Amino acid sequence: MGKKGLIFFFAVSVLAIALFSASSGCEASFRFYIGDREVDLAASLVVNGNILIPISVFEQYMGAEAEVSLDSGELKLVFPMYTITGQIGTSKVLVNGEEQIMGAAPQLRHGEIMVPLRFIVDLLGLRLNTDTRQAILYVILTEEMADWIASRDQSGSVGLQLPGFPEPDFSELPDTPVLKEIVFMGGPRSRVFIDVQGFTAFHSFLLTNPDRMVIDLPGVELDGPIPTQEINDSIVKRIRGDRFDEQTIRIVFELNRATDYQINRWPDGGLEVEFNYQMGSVGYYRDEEQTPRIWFEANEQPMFRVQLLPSPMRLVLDFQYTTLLDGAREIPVGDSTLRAIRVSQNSPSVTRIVLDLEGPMIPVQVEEINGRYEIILFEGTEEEYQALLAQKAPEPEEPEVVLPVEREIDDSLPLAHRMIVVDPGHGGSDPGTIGSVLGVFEKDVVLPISLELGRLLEENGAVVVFTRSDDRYVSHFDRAPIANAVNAEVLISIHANSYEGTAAKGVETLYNPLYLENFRFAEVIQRELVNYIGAVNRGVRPRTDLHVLNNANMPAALVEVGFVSHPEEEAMLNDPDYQKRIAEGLLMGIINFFRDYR
Amino acid sequence: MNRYKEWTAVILLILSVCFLLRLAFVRPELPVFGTQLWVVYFGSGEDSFLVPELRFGTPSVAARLQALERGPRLPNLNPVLPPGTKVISYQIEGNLIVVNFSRQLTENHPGGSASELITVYGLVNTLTEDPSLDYVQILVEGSRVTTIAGHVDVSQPLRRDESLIEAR
Ligand SMILES: [Zn+2]
Repeated sequence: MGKKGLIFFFAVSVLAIALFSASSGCEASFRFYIGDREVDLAASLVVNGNILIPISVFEQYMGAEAEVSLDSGELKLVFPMYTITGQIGTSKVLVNGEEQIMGAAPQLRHGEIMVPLRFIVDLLGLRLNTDTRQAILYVILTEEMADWIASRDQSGSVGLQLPGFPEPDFSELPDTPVLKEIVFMGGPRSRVFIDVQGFTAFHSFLLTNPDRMVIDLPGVELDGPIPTQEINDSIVKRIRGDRFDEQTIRIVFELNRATDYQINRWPDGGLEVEFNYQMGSVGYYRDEEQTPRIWFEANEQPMFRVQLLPSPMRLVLDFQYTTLLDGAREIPVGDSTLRAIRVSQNSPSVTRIVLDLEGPMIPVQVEEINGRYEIILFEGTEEEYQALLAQKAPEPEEPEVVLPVEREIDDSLPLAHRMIVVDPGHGGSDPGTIGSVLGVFEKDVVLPISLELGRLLEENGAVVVFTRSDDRYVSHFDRAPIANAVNAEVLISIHANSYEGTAAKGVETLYNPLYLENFRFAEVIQRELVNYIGAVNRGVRPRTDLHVLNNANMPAALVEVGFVSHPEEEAMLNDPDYQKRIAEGLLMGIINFFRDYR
Repeated sequence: MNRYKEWTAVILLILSVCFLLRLAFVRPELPVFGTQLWVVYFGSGEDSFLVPELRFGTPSVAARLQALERGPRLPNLNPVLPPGTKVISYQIEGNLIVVNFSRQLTENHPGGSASELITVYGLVNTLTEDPSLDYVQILVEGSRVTTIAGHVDVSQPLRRDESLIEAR
């Protein structure tokens, strides 16, 4: 039974991984059955580890009555025993009037309301099962449920489950997990990978005299003898392993000193062992500028959690995955803001430094100096620190607005007297993103496009203001304010895109969905540009978090005209003819916007 | 030792049943005898969207941050933090986590709004997998920055963004 359990667990975890990676995209690559009926799953979604499916599935395949209001976001599902009412965006639902929490909030996707499957299945007392090999997900019905469904759609009887279930065939899976090898990967935490093929249980503990860490692997076969490895780094002296008894393989890490460790399971069965960072001496001083600094010796810089606690005021720094060498200690300081420093092992994996304070103090930065780490402290609160930084930042000057020279404008032109601000992204010391093959700078691609667009706009009667018209740095804080200052009717920000790898390509236009006008502007620009230059259409993207768009008082859009990370697109974007064509496409978008919506 | 084997078998049976019944679809706080399932978000290898990578173990805030710092295990995923970026410290205030990064977060960022969004929300979505955290404030060497690479405003606490998890 143990063996079967192991195999089953392994198989299920494999499916879980497959489902996770598959359903991170919208299209699910698993088949889904309710009873013996296959469900045509148009969409599925994994949110916070919950699978969400369209609410219509419950109506179509489980005899529920579903009511949804796309306006208010309210939803209602009625089953024989349960009435569930909820709301898009909140995981709280009422079940027969009583509040319950689902694993995830219902969401709107492609016009469908998606609800968590797990919650409904549990509520109805049904079971969710899987065939790991064929990536099939089943809901197994109860007899009452099957009768109910059959009575609802008069299509004859409904089987409780897919025929052929429940004996999944595991014959091709490895019978027993096998220990292949132990790989010392090193690093400050002396990482070790135990390559076990198949899923294994494990049991680990520390032993003293001499200090060592032991991992027992029950039910694991050996591929061959385990060679002893001499490591001799700052933590591990030696790694050896052998059969401990008939059932168990034992791996022993001989250590320089007892230290805590973490063991992480890898999805395919391997185990990753890591020891704590090691922290030595700790001290305190003030540098020439009287800035307080805590220093510590360690084999690498561990991250720490910060807590500022009142009465008595203390700053607590919890160094994660860190062993304190040489025991707990108190370092008296007697400084104007700092009375003393206490250092201790707070838990096996946390070293704690407590600063007994006279006034508030926060850590700001860590520097590595002369082989030790120094935490730079600020005397004051977080708010005071941010205020100080804001003060130190150069005074935001009035944005420099270069108004175009007055000229005669033919009133019959499509953009006659329209005030348009063109914002070429980045510039000067900020190159933006950099091309993958030719190394073209985003700032150098978007400037000629912007200048050409400006010229074309003027030809069509517009009054054009640029946020920059040469290779200079313009702060984020100046771009939208320039457009606001001249009462522009639209703002168009021009950028080139980038993503890891060389696959992503095409045009996308970003807009703030707060105002419909922004969407209209973005949509028409995207459509006209893509049609004109024949690029891949990545669509318009609503974003509420883009700095330049959020600060504009008029319809605004940020156009990503192509990917410089895509080798062919980079070459095209670097070509003056293509740049001209982009400007022409953008011009048509802007003309159409004013024609249709102004 | 026979006892131990039986015990193992029982645990494994329970594990299997738990996994069968709950699968990977439950929130990752599911405690299964110390083996919990959680996810870290990384960039897809194909295009700019986020893909969850599964982890077994205790999903502490430090573990999530460390997973982000180290990057994906699967070869077809991209890290969300630029090379050399370290987490200096973090602070939790109610449902807000403030994470202080080393300067490589901005200095080594490749730029482009697509890749900037993946950095920001790979981070935010991974941390807000913790049910007690709703907001993430990014700091670079203690200071609030306007953007990491010129587009996304990170001067204020950010909320989770599920739209980037969905495929094209
Ligand atoms: Zn840009």
